[in-house]
Amino acid sequence: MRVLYFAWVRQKVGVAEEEVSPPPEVRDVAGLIAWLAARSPGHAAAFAQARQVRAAIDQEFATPDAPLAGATEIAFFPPVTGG
Amino acid sequence: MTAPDGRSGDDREELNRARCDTPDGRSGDGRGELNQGRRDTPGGRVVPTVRVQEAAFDLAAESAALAAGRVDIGALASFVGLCRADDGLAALVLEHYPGMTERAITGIAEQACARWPLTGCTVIHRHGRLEPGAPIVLVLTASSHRAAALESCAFLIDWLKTRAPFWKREEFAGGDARWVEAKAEDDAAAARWEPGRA
Repeated sequence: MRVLYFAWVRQKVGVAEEEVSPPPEVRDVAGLIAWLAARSPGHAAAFAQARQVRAAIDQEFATPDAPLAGATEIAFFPPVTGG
Repeated sequence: MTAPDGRSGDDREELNRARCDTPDGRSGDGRGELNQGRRDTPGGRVVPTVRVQEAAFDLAAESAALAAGRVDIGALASFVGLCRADDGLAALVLEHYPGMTERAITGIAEQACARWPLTGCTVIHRHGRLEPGAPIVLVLTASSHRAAALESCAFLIDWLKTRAPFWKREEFAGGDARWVEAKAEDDAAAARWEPGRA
């Protein structure tokens, strides 16, 4: 699956996007965050306060318990500040 | 501009139906649920105009474009968000999520069209580097009467602030930069439009 990062999440991770293949036991957004956080110190810093990170699955906002099944694009970002 | 008070609701619905920009075959995605208990939506829903762009926009030109050739619009409400020069701010840099941004704004605008009897709706949101004084976001809503135009305009900007994937970074004259944090009052403003709350 493709993972996208925006704003300070992107800065901390160090890349704007990456392809990942999490193991089958990673089933939901919270599980993916825990798995990604172990990939590098940058990932760990980005997800250190996971409650401040929002997610989208295939361009729709998703909660931590949202299942990943069938998802092709997951995005992580801070709470939005547009308008 | 506000419509004369004497016009009846029946007239309004007929005018809206005559303006039939309704997209084909769209229903059942939850918008109907939100609309329950609010007000009858006319048969013809408008298709909102949504643009996400770096370029500036012109309020007068967009208003004129929305109203061109129309005689069914009694009220046109507008909101323009501008870049403020707080604390020596040199520029705001707006990052967004291409693809999701357009989807999210279109979804919010379609909700506005489902919840209020709108005869026109335009949302333009800029991204990129914007200096103090620059316009950031434009919301235009048109209806037969003022209440629908004003309320839906407020709804749109409240929900854009909390549901459209943009992130503002502040750049200061000395070279410092920081990400703008989401504000609790913006969440509260958006929450008042939740179904059953407004």
